[in-house]
Amino acid sequence: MAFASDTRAEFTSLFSLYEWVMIGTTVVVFGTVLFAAIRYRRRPGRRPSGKSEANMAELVYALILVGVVALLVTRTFTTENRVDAVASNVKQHVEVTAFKWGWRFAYPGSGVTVVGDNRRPPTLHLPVGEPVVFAERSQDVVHSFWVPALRFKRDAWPDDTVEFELTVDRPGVYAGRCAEFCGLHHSDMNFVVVAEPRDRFERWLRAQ
Amino acid sequence: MTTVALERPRPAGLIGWLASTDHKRIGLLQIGASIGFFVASGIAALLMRSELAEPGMQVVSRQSYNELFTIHGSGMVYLTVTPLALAVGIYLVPLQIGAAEIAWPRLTLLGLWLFVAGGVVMYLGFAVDHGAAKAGWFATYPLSSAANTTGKGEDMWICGVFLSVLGNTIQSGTLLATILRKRAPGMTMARVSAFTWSMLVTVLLAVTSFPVLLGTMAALEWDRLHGGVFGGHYGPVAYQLLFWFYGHPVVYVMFFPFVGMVAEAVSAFSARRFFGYKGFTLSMLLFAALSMSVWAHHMFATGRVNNEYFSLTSTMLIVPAGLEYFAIIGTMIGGAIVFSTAMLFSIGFLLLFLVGGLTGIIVASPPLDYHLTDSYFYVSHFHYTLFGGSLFGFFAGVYYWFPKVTGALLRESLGKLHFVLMVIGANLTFFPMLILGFEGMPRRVATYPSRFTTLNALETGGGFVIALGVLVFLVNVWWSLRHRRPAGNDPFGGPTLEWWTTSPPPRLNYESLPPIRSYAPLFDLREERR
Repeated sequence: MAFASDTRAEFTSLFSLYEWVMIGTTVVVFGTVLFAAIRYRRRPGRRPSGKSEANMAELVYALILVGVVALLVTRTFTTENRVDAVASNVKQHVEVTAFKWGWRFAYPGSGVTVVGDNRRPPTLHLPVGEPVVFAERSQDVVHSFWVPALRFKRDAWPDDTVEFELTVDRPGVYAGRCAEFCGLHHSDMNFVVVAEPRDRFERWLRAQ
Repeated sequence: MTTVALERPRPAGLIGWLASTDHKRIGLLQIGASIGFFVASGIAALLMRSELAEPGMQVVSRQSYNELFTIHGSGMVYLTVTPLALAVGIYLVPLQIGAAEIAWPRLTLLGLWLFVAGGVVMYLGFAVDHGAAKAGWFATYPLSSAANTTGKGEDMWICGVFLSVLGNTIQSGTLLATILRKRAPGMTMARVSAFTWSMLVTVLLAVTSFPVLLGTMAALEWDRLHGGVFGGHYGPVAYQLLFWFYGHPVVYVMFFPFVGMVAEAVSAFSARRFFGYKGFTLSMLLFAALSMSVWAHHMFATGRVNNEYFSLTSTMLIVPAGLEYFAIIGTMIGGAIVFSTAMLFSIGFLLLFLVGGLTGIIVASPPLDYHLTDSYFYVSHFHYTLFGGSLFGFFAGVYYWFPKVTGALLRESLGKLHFVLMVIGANLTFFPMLILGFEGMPRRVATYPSRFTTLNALETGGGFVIALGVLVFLVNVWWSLRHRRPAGNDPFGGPTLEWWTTSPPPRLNYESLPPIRSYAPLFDLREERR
């Protein structure tokens, strides 16, 4: 299966586990409530049960719930370790600066900087198929860098730089935007991601 | 056994209500005030939904939109669901434990007026220059600093939040003292009703977490006036950690009492003792303990907290939540269920809150939350918990206890219409949000790309169906009070103590008390007579 990015592949795989747990739980709970509502509706001659607890059943049930927690948490932790990892030997770096209400993308070593705001959203060019390390910071309030197609966002802070690594696997044009409410023009704080093969990316970089 | 109480004079008229130290009047006034703020915050939501019916800006300006969602969220959290939860407790807890009065009634009354004053101050922000607060209901720093959000509206918001939360904190203290110190002879903690247990864990959360918000709001106001509190390195993170230390427990303050109401209604309308009482109360305590340790799961995408720890504690909430479902559904199984409006709202609560709970487990996983946080998926998640959960639970409680409070029954036909409209409206409004959020629509935007139009238009339609449902409810209350159908002491065969006294209860609640030998003393009596 081809995914748009490594984070998207990780997300999709983990989400499908959660999705099955959710669907299973929904079926069981809706089914049980429906069964109880129909089977135990008041009818002439029905005497309600005098039983007021079932401790053994409840204990077994609680242990099953603990098992579900263990499964979900284990998968979450192993996935997160891969998603959060930032390698030290990555070739391509991008410095992201968020501000009210736009973005600045700088490519260290090349002298290239792209800026845009809510009136003219900037374009973030990325090479496809290789990891890119982002160093993100904000100039004023807290913003958040979100590319829905890559299934990833990270907040931008005024008081510290945060790093994250993304690999875009498929060439394409993806919508990006600010996800943390940041004031008047938050609604229009967009950007565009253009992911392209290395040679085309280099050509774009040189043309700037 | 009887308690003989001297009847105290009950002042008549407006002052008799506004200055009453009767917990029942304080509770009713607070329910009324909360519903007033619910309607106001709901109108804010309808304005937002009207703006969002199609892309682009049509109905309000960008700044007005930001004010509207800030006041909608603040109004619902600080001024509606939290005070509503406490108000039902203030009314019912003394009755359920066989007490004549609430502990410290004047303080309880002070809490009511602090909350109302806070709400009025917050709403008056619309009347000042630069308009009402517009930094969201959690006022992230430095967005909420004087430099980034100008105008007195934001300061009035801080003042309003402070006053209302101070009022809630005081009332939580009086409720805690009432439950611990005012129980009738024989009413041991192991015989306290499910609802009162839910109130106990609620006020425990409130007295431990609410003061942190009071301090945070004071510090934020100082920062706006003089600067230098949250401005330095790590300051913005510190603000969020402090805020959510209040902000997550409050989610459960807005939830537990409604679980308690549903538990009692399901027991009464299944005509059997509440099932798994011990497991339910223990899981409530576990729930409360865990919910004090999950707060930074609102901050997974910040990259600045220990995601694993908060993901673990948040996912563990599956266990107590699952045990509560076990007890409530276990009560239905083996019962003789009457499908009254209260029972329908209880079933609605179980099924709609499930959607909120399950989507909550998804966003408790950081790699999933990286994508879904601050999106419409997340908006849907907490509306399924707060609307599908808390408000459905509240309506179950209203249809169940209205006869006790007023002496008159609500109309079942209007009640069922109310229920159907609420189910349709809630799902029409909140289900499409799951898809929109997944597809990339962020929260708190006044416009969106045109490919999101259809689902947004559906949501707007759903919002107005909800409004119609609320209108039917208000009409039902008005009609049922005008054309009274007398309820008697115990119209539904209730299990708990309050059904022993008259409807409405006298000033000091009880002329006499039955023996209390379990958590369902009125069931005990009926079984003896059989």
